Amino acid sequence: MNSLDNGSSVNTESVDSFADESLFRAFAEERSWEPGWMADFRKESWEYYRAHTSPVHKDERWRFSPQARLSLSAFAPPSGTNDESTSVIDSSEEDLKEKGVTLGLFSEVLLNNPTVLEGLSNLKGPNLGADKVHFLAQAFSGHGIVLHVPKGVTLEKPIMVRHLAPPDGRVRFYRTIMILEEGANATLVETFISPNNQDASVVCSAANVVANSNAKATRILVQDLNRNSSFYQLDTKQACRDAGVRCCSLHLGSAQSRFENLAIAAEEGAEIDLLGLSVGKGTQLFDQRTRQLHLAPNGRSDLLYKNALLDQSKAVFSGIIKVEAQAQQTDAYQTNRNLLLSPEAEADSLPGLEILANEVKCSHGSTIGEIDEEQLFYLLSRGISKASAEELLVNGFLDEVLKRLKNEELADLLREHLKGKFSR
Amino acid sequence: MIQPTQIDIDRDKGNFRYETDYQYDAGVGLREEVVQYISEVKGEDEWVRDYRLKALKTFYRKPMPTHWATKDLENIHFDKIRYYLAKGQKPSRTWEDVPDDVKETFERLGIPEQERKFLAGVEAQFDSEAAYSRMKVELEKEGVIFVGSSDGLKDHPEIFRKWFGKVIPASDNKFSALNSAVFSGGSFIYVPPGVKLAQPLQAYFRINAENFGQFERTLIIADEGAELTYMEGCTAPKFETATLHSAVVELVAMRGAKIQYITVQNWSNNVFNLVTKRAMAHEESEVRWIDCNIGSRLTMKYPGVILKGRKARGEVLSIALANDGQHQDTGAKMVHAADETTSNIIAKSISIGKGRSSYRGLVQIPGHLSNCRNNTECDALLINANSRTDTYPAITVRGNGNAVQHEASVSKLNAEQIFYMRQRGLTEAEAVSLSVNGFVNDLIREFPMEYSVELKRLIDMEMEGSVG
Repeated sequence: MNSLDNGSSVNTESVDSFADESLFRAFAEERSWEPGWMADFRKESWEYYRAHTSPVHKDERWRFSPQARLSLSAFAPPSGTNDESTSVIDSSEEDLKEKGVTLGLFSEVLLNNPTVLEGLSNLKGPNLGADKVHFLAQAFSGHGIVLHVPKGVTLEKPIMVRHLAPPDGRVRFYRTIMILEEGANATLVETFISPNNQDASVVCSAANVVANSNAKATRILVQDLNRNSSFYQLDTKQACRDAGVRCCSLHLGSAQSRFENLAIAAEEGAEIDLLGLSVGKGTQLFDQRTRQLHLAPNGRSDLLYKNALLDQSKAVFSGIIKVEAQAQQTDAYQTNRNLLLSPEAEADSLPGLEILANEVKCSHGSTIGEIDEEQLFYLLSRGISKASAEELLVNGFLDEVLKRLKNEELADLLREHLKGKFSR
Repeated sequence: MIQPTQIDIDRDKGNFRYETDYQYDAGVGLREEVVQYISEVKGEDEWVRDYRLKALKTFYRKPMPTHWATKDLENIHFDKIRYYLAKGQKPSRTWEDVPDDVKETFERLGIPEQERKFLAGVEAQFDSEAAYSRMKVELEKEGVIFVGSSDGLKDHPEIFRKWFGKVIPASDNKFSALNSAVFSGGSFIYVPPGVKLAQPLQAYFRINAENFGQFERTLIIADEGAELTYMEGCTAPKFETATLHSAVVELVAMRGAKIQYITVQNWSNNVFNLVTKRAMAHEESEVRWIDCNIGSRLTMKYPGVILKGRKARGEVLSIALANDGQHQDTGAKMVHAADETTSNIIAKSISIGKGRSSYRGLVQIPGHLSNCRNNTECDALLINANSRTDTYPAITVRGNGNAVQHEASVSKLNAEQIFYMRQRGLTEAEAVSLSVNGFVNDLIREFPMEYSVELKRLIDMEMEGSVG
């Protein structure tokens, strides 16, 4: 599974190739064409990574997480050579140039239009536990997608991007930078897949979505990597005055994945929807951490994460709604629902609230249960086989999330990915 | 996230003096000699002393749980605390020394004259012999054992040793280790099979014992089919010089037994109240914790039930009220360890002024179990703009036919309700008070009658000055 480990599996943690100065230098050298501020930012991030020590006590942000499974230590850091971009952008939207829209792969934009990315160092990570991985993403990112939509421009059609995972034994860091200026409107759909069924590699996607005043951003992530891979999703979403951000993550693949989502209602009237869907099979692990942060009054945020767990799969959900004292009149909700489809599946749920303002409506709900016997019986009595009945009910369970997208086209796209995931 | 700042509190409230010339005094600070001394004074058996010493080592070794708990814990100075005040000492204050506002509180709560003196520390113990001696005789006739912790271990080791430290091992957490090293006071109770006690047992029924000790240790065993209700504390404010209270309470409900444990905590607000409470529920037994926290500077208390036998049932009903300078960090733990076990948690908290209330919960259903159920509801009410509330539940579920649901909500006072009441001529304070009482009413009803009346009055008093 790993290329660096020479049989000494006990002590792999001590060899940290990401902290190796010569490897980082070599990486930076290959990217010497980048603007100076980018080189500085990479260096700074890498130094943070090296200086960052894990807390002495057990870290609450990793509670219930089999942290060792998510370790990067057995993988090789990226290098410029033989790490060709394998991302494809598919956009049928016309006149992007005329409208002043910047759309391109991360390295392309960095080369051709670096001014768009000048604020990169101000875009923070979610810091919900995998802080070190995010530093690495800042230091070693060579892939990803940049979408910048100028003031008042609406992109009617979704922009579709397909990313291919790196070769065996490698880690690849993707940055997604989606910035919508005042009143802009755009949808970005990213799909991560593996080139084959065997390669064990790590994909780390670090995204920042910024919706300025009155902008509407929609971002969908579909993760369908092969069952030998690991996946990190480290997202920060920020909604400014009266802006709306709607995000949905569909996690189907990878052996283990950790997704951290920080959503900030930064200015008055911001609205945020966070949706998550995961279907676990085999020994898959989904480690989900979210934080809904309300900094300004009259904001609304709504989170719905649903997990359907088969076999020995495991889902950990840990979410916090934090309402700061000045964020009065906030409506914030958080719902985590887990469907256990096998006695060996496991769901851990840590829904949390930290409320410092009093004029708010906040609630969270968490359920862990099985398929309703009566519903199943009803379907069976109509002559539907047990397998199909279960699939129907699970699809019904998951469909609530897709409906919240309020966009049938996107919902259908995700339904397509979900098809056949329950065949046992 | 967490402010480690010193909370400004009115220290005069707890400013009572005990005479320093103690008959038995273990001195200040925590050393091995102190533990040896306590054990010696109590005339304990060797195994108890060894248990204490081992626990002390555990205490030294354990870190402070500040990686999840409030940094305020760092303000506890273990070397400045007196760990043992022996019985036989009498407080020197007289009724005249008791501050007027305390007397007024007693008056308004309607505490009987006898109890007032006891609660204010004028008498070392509530002189209740006449009232309760008949009851004591009856208890003895039934075979109930109701003694202090040291007496329990000395006189009835065959009953108590088996369970002592088994529900909550000394190494459970730093403060259970501390308690295991220096415990004194508390109650050891054994109710024989089939005995159902109609009257609730109260800590201050017991004659000649240290009651609400600083490091009290309680162990209650209800044998097969036995039933009892135990009440700890009282609704009136208690004034204490000691700033650290760390109790350990263990309950054992044998097959088919029922235990109800009621706590009303109203320490003065310079007290750290760090308590470990846990019950072991065997087959078809039922354990119910009713927990009400109003006082203290910081309370950390998560009563738990280990549902060890088939069809066992655990319940926690919790009310917390946090006013200025207070942090009520309370919650519940339900560890399911047998099939068909059920648990229910209902927690309500009210934050007033700069008060902070937190709910922390744990529900665990491992993979080999089937048909377990848990229901958790937490509701928080925020009264003022700078009040704070947190909810941190943790739920783990595997297995077959298990279902868990958790719900929490945060709300403020209903403006329409207040308006309606104001319109009927109630003052704003009265209206708020009524509304808050309505919020906790369904839980308060679970308390014995006289307690629920006092609790309501107490909430009224806490609400004063929080509006306008």
